[in-house]
Amino acid sequence: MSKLSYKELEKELMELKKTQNSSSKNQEYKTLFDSMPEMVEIIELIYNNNNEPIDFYIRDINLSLAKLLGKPKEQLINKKVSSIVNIIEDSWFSYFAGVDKTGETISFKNYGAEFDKYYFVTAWKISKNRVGVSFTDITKNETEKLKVQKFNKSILDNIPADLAIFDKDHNYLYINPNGIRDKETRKWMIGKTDFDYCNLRGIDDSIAQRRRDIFNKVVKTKQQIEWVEEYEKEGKTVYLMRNFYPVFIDAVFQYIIGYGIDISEQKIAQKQLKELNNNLEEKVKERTIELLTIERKLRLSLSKEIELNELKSRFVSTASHEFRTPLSVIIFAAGSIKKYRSKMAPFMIDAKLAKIETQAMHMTALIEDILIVGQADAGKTRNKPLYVNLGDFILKIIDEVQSSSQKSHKIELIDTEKLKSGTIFIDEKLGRNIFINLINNAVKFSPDANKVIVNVSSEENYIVISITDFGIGIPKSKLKSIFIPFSRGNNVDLIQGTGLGLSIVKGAIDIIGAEIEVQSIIGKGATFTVKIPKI
Amino acid sequence: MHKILIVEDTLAIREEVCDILEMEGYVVFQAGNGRVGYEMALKKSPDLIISDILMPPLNGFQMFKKLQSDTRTMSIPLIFISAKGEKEDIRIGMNLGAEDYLCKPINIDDLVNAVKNKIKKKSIIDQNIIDKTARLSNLVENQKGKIDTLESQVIKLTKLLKDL
Repeated sequence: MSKLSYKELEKELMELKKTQNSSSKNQEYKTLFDSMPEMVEIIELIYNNNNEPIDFYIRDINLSLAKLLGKPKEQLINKKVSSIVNIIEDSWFSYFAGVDKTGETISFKNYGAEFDKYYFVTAWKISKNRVGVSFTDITKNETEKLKVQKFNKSILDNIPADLAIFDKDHNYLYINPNGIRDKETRKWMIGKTDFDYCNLRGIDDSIAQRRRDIFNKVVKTKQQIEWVEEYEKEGKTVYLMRNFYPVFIDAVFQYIIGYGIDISEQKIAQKQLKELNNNLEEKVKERTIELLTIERKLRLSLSKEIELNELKSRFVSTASHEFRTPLSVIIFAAGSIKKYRSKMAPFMIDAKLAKIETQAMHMTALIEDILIVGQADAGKTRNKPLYVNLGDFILKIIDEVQSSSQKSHKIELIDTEKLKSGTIFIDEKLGRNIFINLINNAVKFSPDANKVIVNVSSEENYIVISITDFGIGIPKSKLKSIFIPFSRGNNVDLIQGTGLGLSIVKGAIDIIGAEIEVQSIIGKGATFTVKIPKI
Repeated sequence: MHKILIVEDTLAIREEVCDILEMEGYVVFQAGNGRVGYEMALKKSPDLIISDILMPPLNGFQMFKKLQSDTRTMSIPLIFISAKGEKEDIRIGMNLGAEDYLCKPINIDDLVNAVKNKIKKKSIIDQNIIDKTARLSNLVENQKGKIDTLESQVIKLTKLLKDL
């Protein structure tokens, strides 16, 4: 049965009462009226002088309602409601007076504390001051609903994020305790904005402005927006991942839910991780550079080692090769004498014996030279310089060369600065190695000349001794390799030599910290200039 | 009298080898490097060449290669004598086709024996060639006689045929 049918029923009832032409029918309606499960009454409002409703009479009531009130109908009809119930909410009077005033039928939900029930109520105007009212007990539904609401609210209240619901103008409709802890402030916020909150707290409202901008964007685009909010709180930077999303009901945009999750810890961890990574990268870089340096050093020393080893093995193989030549000559010559002595003329035997002697001596010289080079290479040669008389030092060497070359050349000493009587700071043995080889070479490689010049001069920090010959010279292509052991010019022909003389010179020069220069024109001669530090 | 060419840049060694070979009764020619050695080989057609290896400007290997690519000198046997005595050096020399590779310092008997053997081998080969050539020329002579006889018979026959 619909509500309207009650109204019609009531109308019909009234009509019936008016006409009273059929008491049997009246009786029928009365029965129907009483047997309805809904609670129905007809009231007559009582107004005070200010025309405010203050009470009402129950003019008629059905059994269902009488049952609720706990009294027989007779004790209720024509009684003031205030005499029947202890509590009656003002809202009831205002609803009923409204109907009486406007004549409009209304339906509403209301709570009655007397019986602790919720009712669905329909009220309609019957005549002046008179209103028909029907009640349906919806307590069960409403309590369920309330429970759900309570449950929902408890979820919102306890969610571990700050959560708020805004109307379309960014006013707060709801905010959970995580959003604002203080209950009073939370209450106060309803209907207010972030700007109000900033005002209340006396804080900069740039955050409120930022939120407003994003809110407007969400309203405009109807799209959810997520962003990270950052602010200082108690000296710490707080990071909140914020989210505004629009809520639609039946495809109509209703409100916006905003929530924020504190991600400070993650952010800080992220930052630390990043820093750690950076540090790590930095360290890795440093280490890589260190490693590269070490590797380079290793490579360098390795290549030096390899170079040295190669030099050594080359030296050994060259030296052994150099020994094989005089040995071959000796073995051939000695073997010849032994095998063919009877066929040989005496001069031939003498020549072979002389050859054997020469080759043996050459080998001895070779061994001595190799020992000197070997010692220098092994770093065993020590520089022990002393102040010695320059004249004595150089003249002694010149004499030695001259006697061994049977005075084939005139060795001229030029001393324009008169340094002969002065001193030179030199290791005598190493110095001898240098100049005996250079002067010997000068004589040896100028077989067609008869003069060698030894010039003594000085520079600011050096004593300079140069040896000039007028011999075969050194080919340009060989100038670079003259100091390498066993390297000999291709123009030396039959001039005897070990190929070690200049290696010995260079070794000694390096040890005493001197310098050597060479100038030569092939076929004209060569000049070797040695600069010896004064101190 | 067999001819031997000695190619060696060290004068003292060259002289000694020369003396030894002359004592053994060979005719000896001397060259101071590979270039001279090659020219000398062309000029003198020696029965054997004894050559050092390290000699600028043309070394023993280079000279030997040159000799082997020349039809006039390709059959002359060669013995290397070198101070380079490593296995690899010897293999390179032998692979080029040398008859022998002696490492300095060399015992006289080893040298003399090697020379004798190579000369003997060369002589046998040469003798074989001479014998073969003689036999072949005999054969050719023989064939020539036969061909001549046949030819005269053919001429006779042709004449007879014409007369018929």
